[in-house]
Amino acid sequence: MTFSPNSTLNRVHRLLMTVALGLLLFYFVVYVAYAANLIRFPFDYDQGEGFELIDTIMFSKGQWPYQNTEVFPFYSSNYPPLFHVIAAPLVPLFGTSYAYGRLLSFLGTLVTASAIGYAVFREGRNRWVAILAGLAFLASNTIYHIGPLFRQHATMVMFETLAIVVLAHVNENTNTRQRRLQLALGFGLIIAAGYTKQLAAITAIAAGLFLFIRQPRRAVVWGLFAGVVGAAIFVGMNAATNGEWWRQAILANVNELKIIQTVALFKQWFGLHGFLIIPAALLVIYEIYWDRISLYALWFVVAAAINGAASGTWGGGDSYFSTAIAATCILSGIFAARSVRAEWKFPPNYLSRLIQPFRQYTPVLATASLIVVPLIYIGYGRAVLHLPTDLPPFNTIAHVFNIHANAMNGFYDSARTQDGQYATGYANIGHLTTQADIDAGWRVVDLIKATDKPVISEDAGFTLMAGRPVITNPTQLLNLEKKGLYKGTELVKMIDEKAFGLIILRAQFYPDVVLQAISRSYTQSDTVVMNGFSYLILAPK
Amino acid sequence: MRSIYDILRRMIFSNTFTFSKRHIGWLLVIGDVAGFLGIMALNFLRHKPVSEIGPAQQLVFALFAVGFLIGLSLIPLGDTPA
Repeated sequence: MTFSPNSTLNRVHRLLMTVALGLLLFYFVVYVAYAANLIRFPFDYDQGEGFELIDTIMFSKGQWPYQNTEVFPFYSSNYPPLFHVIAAPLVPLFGTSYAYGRLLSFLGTLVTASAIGYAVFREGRNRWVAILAGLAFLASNTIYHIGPLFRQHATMVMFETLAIVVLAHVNENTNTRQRRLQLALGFGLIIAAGYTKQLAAITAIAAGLFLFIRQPRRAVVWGLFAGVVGAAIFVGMNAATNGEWWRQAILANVNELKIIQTVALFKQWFGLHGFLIIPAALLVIYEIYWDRISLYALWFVVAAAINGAASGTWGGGDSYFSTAIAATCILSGIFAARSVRAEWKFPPNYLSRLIQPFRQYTPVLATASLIVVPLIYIGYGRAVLHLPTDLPPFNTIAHVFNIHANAMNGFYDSARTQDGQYATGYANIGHLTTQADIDAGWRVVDLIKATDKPVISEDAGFTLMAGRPVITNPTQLLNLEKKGLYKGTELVKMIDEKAFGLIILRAQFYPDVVLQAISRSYTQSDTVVMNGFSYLILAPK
Repeated sequence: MRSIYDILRRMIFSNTFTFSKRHIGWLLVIGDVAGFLGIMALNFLRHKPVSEIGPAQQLVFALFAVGFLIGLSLIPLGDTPA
């Protein structure tokens, strides 16, 4: 099926593609501005970043962060090690800083976007669409706000996407040596993703299913090989940490599901990414009935279903859709490229009869694709609208288009209503930090330095910057308590004895037994507002 | 039975075996029915009446239903590679 669009149509197509490209490039500029702002910010921006920094510092000293939380300093990590191990060599060079972790994570998203663009170009041979697909990933509200954090999620998505791109055509490779190298690299990347964050298990499932459908024998052999390697690392880490790896990172990490949060986040995911989800889903249907089922399609379905459902767990959130967003961008990009090139084929089967009446419209549909495809990306660009509304030069754009802030520090985010409401589980971040936030952070550090006793801070950044030991990891203590794995006897005893000079609370994500002890022995002496969050400074009664 | 044995034999020993649309269709149909019956059996063992099936299980049942229908629709596609 080929056709020759007239030159006017081609010009309109190029104009619309330029508009789409300009729009998504604008979001890329916003993303770079946000990343640059966060990289300079010296304190916790997102809850838990400081604990990832501690893990990195501990690995740089050759220590495991998986520890017994019943003994001082009551600290343990619940995350796999790879992201922190990658960042660890930077600790001796740059010291205690969030900058390199945030930079690594940000660079990881650029690698992911490039891999998405490469995959789309390889399948669709359309440079414009490939670039749009990569930029669409970075323009997602979810990817935007988690991309430059000192957190391991974006790096996991990078490893997952690279693995999928490597394995997608492995069965077509007739050169045995090259195919084995490809399989080894693909499985190696999946293991790397899994040891960056546990959520990558879904990519292992999707890749395993794909290989099993195409060539079961090969899937079983390589699956066993990868399983043995993964299990050996697991057992080795468990032995080296006296079982704390299993207890802290696995047992404590299986959390309850709040179905209301899952539903809210699914609605939000569709609301923001619907322009790309629909073509992606159409391509999946096409592959199921008229083509071979690709690894991209399986990855999309498994990631959306399992990670989407898991987004409703305690500790989950919209970031759990990141993998599905990467898969959406690839599939929708392939769909767009095929449409523009009018390359759809419908081999005869019982369902082809349903589309038979529409075959006469094929040239019209092919022509319409030249207009519809850029409009899809323009529509997506409108759906994911986010920008700082006060900061030059974005404030001019906000003024021209009458966009008003609906988040803190003068930020507009289309994931929120105009009065700032957002779906349960959506991370309350994305805004840029200000000098006032930095000053507020240093004020808390000065308060810590003014006491000789150890200090408990719910965000680790303050104690780290004060050069004090970090005590407790609140969310991990809560994870353990929810599983009945935490007593807290020693910590409660120290709180009752007023052994801590200050306790700094933000979200109060501590186990009840700890919060009750704090309320018995400490009283609020000050409040410091940083980043829109109120930090309660508690002193001994 | 002979057909299942033949598929299993080729899956294990053949370097060229690949699943067909019909295979995937049957696997989805059988898997979804087994999954549905399995959850219902668990509910029965836990003395949980049908009226107390929560939203999470309802969601899973809905997914089973979708998978079942996709499975049924794939069976007529025969030996086309999946």
